[in-house]
Amino acid sequence: MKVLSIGFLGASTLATTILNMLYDLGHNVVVLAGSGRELVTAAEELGIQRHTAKDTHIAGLLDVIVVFPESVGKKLPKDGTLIKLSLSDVFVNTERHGGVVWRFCTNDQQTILAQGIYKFGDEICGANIVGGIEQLAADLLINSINNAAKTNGLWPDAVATALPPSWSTELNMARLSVWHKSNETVKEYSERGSIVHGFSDAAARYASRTALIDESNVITYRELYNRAVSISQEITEIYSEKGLSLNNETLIGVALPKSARLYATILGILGAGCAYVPFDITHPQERLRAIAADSKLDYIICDSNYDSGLFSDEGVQPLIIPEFRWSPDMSVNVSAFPSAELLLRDTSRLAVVIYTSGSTGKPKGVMLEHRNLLNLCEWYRHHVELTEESRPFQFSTIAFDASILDIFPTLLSGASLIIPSEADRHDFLRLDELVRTHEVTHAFLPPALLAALPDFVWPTLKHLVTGGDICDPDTISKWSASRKFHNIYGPTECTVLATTVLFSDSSYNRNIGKPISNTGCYILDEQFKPVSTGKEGELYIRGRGVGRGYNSEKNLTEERFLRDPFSGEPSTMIYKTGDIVKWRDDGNIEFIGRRDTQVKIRGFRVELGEIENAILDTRIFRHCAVVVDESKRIRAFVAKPYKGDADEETVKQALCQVLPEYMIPRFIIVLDELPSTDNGKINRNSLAGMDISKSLVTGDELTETENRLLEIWALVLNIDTNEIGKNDSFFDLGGHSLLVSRMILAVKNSFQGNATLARFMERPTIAALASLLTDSTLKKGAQISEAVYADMILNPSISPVGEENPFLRKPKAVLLTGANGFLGTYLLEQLLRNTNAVVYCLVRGSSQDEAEQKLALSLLNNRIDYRVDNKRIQLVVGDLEKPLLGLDISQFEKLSLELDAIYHNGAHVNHVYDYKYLFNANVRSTLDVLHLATHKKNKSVHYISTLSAASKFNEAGWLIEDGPAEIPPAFVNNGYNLTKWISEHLVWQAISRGIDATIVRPGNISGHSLTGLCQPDKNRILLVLKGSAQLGIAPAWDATFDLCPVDFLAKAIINCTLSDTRDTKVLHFHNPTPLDWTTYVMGLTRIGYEIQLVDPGLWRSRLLDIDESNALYNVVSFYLDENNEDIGDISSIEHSRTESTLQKVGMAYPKKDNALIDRNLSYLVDCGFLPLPRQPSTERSFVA
Amino acid sequence: MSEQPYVSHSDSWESTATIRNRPRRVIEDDNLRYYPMNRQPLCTHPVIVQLDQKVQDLILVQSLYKYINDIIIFETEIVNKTAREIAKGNFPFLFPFDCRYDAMSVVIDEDYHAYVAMNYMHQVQERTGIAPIELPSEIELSRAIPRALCTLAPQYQAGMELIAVAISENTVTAEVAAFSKDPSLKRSVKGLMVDHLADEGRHSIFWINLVKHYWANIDEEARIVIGGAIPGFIEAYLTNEIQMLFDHRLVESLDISEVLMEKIREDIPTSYPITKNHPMIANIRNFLKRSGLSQHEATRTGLSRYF
Repeated sequence: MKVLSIGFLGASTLATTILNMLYDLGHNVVVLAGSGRELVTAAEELGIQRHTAKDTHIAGLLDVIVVFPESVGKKLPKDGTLIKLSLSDVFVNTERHGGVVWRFCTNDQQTILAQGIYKFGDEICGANIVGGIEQLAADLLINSINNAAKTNGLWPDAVATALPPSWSTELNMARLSVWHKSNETVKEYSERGSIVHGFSDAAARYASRTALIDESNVITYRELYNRAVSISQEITEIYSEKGLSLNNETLIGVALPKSARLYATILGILGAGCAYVPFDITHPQERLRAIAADSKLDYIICDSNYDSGLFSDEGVQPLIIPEFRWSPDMSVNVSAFPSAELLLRDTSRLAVVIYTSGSTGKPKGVMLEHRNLLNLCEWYRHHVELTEESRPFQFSTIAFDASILDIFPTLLSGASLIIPSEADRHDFLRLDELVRTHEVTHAFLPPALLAALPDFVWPTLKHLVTGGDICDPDTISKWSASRKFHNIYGPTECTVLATTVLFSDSSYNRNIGKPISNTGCYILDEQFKPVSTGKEGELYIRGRGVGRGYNSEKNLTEERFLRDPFSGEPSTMIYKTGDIVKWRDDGNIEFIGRRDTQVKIRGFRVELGEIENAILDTRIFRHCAVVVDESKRIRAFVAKPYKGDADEETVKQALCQVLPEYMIPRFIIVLDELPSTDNGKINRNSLAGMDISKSLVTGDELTETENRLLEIWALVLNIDTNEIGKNDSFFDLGGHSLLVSRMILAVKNSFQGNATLARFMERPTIAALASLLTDSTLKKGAQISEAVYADMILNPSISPVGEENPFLRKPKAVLLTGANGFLGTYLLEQLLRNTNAVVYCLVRGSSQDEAEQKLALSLLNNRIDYRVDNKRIQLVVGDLEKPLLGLDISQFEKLSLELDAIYHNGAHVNHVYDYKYLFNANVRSTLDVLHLATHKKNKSVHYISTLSAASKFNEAGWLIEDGPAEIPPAFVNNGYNLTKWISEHLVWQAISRGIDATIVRPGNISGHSLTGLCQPDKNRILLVLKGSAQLGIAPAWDATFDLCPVDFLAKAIINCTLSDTRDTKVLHFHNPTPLDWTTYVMGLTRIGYEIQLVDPGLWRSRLLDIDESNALYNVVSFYLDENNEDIGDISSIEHSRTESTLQKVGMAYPKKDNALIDRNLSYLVDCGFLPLPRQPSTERSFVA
Repeated sequence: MSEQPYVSHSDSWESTATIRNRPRRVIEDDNLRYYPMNRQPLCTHPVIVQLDQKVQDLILVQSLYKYINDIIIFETEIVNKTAREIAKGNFPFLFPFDCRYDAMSVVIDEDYHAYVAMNYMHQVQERTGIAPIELPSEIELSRAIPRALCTLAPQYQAGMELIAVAISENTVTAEVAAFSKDPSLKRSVKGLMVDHLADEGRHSIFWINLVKHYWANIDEEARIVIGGAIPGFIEAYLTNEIQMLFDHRLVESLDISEVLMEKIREDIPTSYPITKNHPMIANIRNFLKRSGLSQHEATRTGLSRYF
């Protein structure tokens, strides 16, 4: 089968889909210049090379170019064979179809390659139809291409055209994709001009019917009209007296208690041609002031009970209209509203600015116009069958947009509005009485109130409306019986509601229904494309309900109120709701959640509403709210149990059966009832911030180890640390087989402990793993992590370069690291003495001067004859802990060209710190040295290790002069030894690759053979000596003791490493001449110390009590075990090869006689390391 | 449970079967990998990470060989044994002709997958010069199916075999899908998986339909007995033994010292707990739902820990 090369020119989803399909089939695909971004991005994701317009020969490389309708007219490569798609739209016998034709076009002719038709049928969602047509188009093309591939690139014969000519109408896929049957909502209502006209008409028609019933008044339409007119006249007069102008934008605040007077005032403001800004006088003063400031009011109409000074800071004057101005004859209409004429012409006049809570905490004023309210009123009157006989209830505060639904449709219908007092609103029994007494027929009541109300029987209530929050199933079941129960959905910005559905007993509580009259809903994906049925997208609302925007919030308005890209009319606006919804099969919309409350937990998108529903479905509690707290933990609050034994645990268990683990709330808290906001919604903010610590039984206190593990788990599982509890199973958190290894290895890399997989699997929790890691019963030596073994491997790139260097043993330039150390200075001395080389001395320092002073001081202290300004001493400021030995690149390059040999003597000597801590200075520096040794030219490397890091034994148990063993040295608990052992491995591998290198293992480096001079503070054995002297007892170890004078050692190292005839790559530099430990220690008595040799066990037991004043304090951990081999019995250390090399260079081991011992010990006293002995020694005079 | 009439997939097979429509996958000359790193944890071991890149590449190529070898065993010895018996009317439960005819197309597809896999393995050997280490002669299913069957009376064994094959066909489908998304892999390797997946989508539905048909036509006692054997099968199916042995062998084939081998071997897990979050359990759960088995109360109860 032939692999075809296919070019693409297009910009649509269809083009992208087909591109991916053909790529998957194994063909070569190329996206041609001129294609749209979507296609280009798809090509990039597939890693396909992009064609540029400059490449004019592309057509010659392609079998065929597929051109999509959106790219017709774009420039095509010359001489290409094309396959063009055309999509057409036709009605056959009144049934709509989509026609798909693929044409095969060469220079001289066009034939039909494939064609098909797609029947729209009963499909109600345009996006589904578009999907179907695209599928058909793709199938037809793929089929043709498969055929061509099978026949080695021969295209099938042309299909005879069977489509009628009318098919040529182009199908507008973009427009089709936004079509939805549920959006066919156009309905023309009779012209009413404005809310004021609508009310005036009703007042004339139903003049003597009751308009309002409040606590103390029953007011007819005529009375209400007269009062409203007189208020509007008063407003007009006041404005005129003050010389203020009344215009389209004039806002007047209303802050009156619920009463007939309130509604007359609202109508009065509208009648004056102004818009009202409702204030709920029970709201916090701070909020009211913020609203007054934002709306820049001149006046706020209130009554004499109100604190008139409240808004003085905002420059708002209280306007108290003392009494209604009664017409002399209330039986006739006094006059018309002053602005009636004006309003008739301008239905876009602002009617109300209603404030809602903004996400920033600052209230935002939504501006609604008369035309917005009128569409709502007309639709609502028809939808809930409002007539002059109806008696709607006005429960909501006027500051909540639902009040608009109660007030205006009622007063435009001649119905009677029943007004509860503030006290009635908060007393269920009074509410019940009011509804029954006045035979209320319609009401809007929020879900939280409905959920809380007792089982009242309200037979007259025919239409109950709710919305603004999700109803729980219990509430739906209770209130949908024997009446119409409407669920409404809509943001204030779209005038109270945009969609609605009638709830029945079994209704799904997140169904928000279909758009109301003259309203449409777009559900769009993130690319702004309409989604098909069942797919989630964001809801955008269009139509007559879409308001003007936000008062004085231009940016926010532009962000949320957008031009409708699908309507073709530039003035049509859509509102971006921020709500995630989906189309249902029945044409209704299902609410998923707020875009900004969707939370990602462990990478999963979690919709809190889904958890709420799951909790309600368990039928354990009647009410619930699920929120996420600041730490992204899910909190579920439940209230009103069905049965007495309901508790947190039963809910949790039930949820585990139905929800994935990541959706199970971390906290489930039982409350008596859920808190609600003023508008009757559940107060989720207060729940998210609620202090729940009292409700929780156990805390999650973590140890330091557990905290570090938490970090690792979070990284491996790619979730937040606060999503992990210390007793959560790794596998329940989303861990699986592949991740468990990764996690364990990450743990091994950052902990010294040896946590085995097998043991972890027994209980895969943070708590269990931490205890494995901190288990003190683990044997020493079993704790080397894999990371240490991984460091053992020398990077394959390090190997000899180019030609052999003839100066390896007669170096012209040498690098010495650790040049200012004790041994370092003597090595420097020997290098200067035994070679003609320039010696580059690597010394740490913040400046050249500082480093120079350091080296000068060391030379002086160690009584070396050379001065730092010697021409052959070249100081190099560096730092072993830093990459490239702390050198800059140019220094590194320069040295790599000059050097012939490197003595890597420097190290961070510390017997307490762990391997990781010492790694940089002691291991990475060795890597850098080896890198330097093979960079540009080959150099010798002489690595100064230590006998305590030696690891290879022969059968007799002797340490042999050979490379390191794979089994670590005995003292693995010592990080320092490990770094030396690993470095030896690196050097040994370098040797095996042909690099000229030596491993030098000194033993116990003791003081100068003539002066006893040493640096005792860093020598652990001398610390044992001093500590024992302080205790007055020393352990009677049975061991041959080493004493290797530093001057001998340095001379031996330099001579042996420079020798061309040496026998070994590994040099053991202890001093094998006989001396036992006890003889050495007892030397102390000769210089006046009282010290007793005791059983080592006894000595160890005394160590348990020492404090910081004892020299052993910092190294005590090395001596607490019985099997301490630290002193190193040198009787079983091989040295024959070293000894023979020494002989070849004319050297022999110094004698370990009393004179040497005493010179050593006396120096220790003289330099103040050892305390002065109690009695002056008679032999002190021996000391030079 | 009401049964839908069986609809043959023969038409879609003609137009979509990879044997009919897809060109051969040829290895590209690029530096992309032969096998996804995240499917072979050995590659992330700290010791391995330090070694030459070639060692990682070697591990990945050997892992691909094993994967291909598994496919060949799975397709030819497990799936096609059952599918061929169904197609030829030798299966102890007689399916309608449409099912049998479709089963024969499954046999063709699966044998073709095995052929394509062998061909690719050959190409990889030619290009890399890496010969496969000793590959396992069986896969987990080779043991899990007989083990499940031997616990049942003869009259229930065929049903169990059918369900076991259907479960594994559905699990593999999702596994292959995950494979094909890795951007660090060679296009030809991914293409191999995509091709495989294209047929497996059809097979997955085929096996679900067969199980539905079978389940609807057996008596309650048979459902209880067979349903009761499923948990044991799943447990045996999802073991890690063969992979573990292979990983050990793979480590031993590396040119590294014994101590390093030991360090790596210590970290090869012996088994994993099979919880409802196991990646393959999600697919199995999905199969149980789609095939209707989870609607059977007794079966569902037995499998409750996976739900």
